[in-house]
Amino acid sequence: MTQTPNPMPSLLIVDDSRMSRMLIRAIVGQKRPDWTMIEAASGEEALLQVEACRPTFVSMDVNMPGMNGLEAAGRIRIRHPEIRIAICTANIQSSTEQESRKLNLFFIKKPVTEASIAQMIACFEE
Amino acid sequence: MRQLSEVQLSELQQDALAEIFNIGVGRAGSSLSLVVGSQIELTAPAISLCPLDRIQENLHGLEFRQFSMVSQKFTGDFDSQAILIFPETNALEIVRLMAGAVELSVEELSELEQEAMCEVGNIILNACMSAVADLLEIAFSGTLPVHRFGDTCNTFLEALGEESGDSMVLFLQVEMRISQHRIQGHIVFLLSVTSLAALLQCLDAYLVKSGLQ
Repeated sequence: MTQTPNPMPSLLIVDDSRMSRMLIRAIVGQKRPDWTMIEAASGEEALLQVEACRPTFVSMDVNMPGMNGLEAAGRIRIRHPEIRIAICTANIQSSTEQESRKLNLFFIKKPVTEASIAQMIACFEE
Repeated sequence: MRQLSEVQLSELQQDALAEIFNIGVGRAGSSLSLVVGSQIELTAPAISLCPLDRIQENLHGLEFRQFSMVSQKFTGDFDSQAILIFPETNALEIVRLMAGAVELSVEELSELEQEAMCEVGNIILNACMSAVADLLEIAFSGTLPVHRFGDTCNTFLEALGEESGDSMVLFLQVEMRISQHRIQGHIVFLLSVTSLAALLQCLDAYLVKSGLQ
């Protein structure tokens, strides 16, 4: 019997800033051209996308209109513990980082750069 | 109305406040440097107490008329309105540098300008306030960034909006330059005098922790 090959990883980029989504998409696209990328502009939209697309990884902003990223990530974590989630935020206070760690999320500090995205990919693939 | 004499800071408290914001602005400069890929020069924070309606007289070096401005309010043990100001002509250049990895036409750049400046403000102002929060061992909650264009100081006062109930504010200002790209900008913090007692408590706790009091 032949084994079904693992599907290519997919990344859901959640950020209310279109600029940040574009940057993350461009840099990840250069480093991992085979990954599929999906976008969401809010926590609420992220929850819908997770159910519709079941991404392998999620990059999640924190401060967004409506549901904040930590809450959205927490909800995804409960329903889909297999999805690896990185908080990618400008809110780099120790208190935010500690809260992320408590939820078992990776913590990546903005700005979005080649280095910060390399760090995010390394977390996803470790 | 609050009088200036009611809200005096001791020399040590003022010094500690300047140093804490200096570290915060240093972190902000480091974040901006990652965004634009160049070194940022920063001045030490200038601190003054002033009536809200005379703020524009204290905006040293803001001789440019057309602003691109991002403001964000942080609430916590004390409240701070943080504002990032660039001349409008410089803002587009920052967005272009930020876009880096993304190829954009001039039209796309213009279209993205306001949103991208919001994100630049979000990154820089949060970097600074995060350092302040960590040093004082407190936590701030920040509003979403708001971007405004303006050709007069009225825009600046409009950005303060809800602060207008306070007659006096503690005013911190830092100038930054990116010589390589001929960009200059300002970061301004307005600390509400209504939460001054809480701020002084935080500063005193910091001084005790640092063995200075």
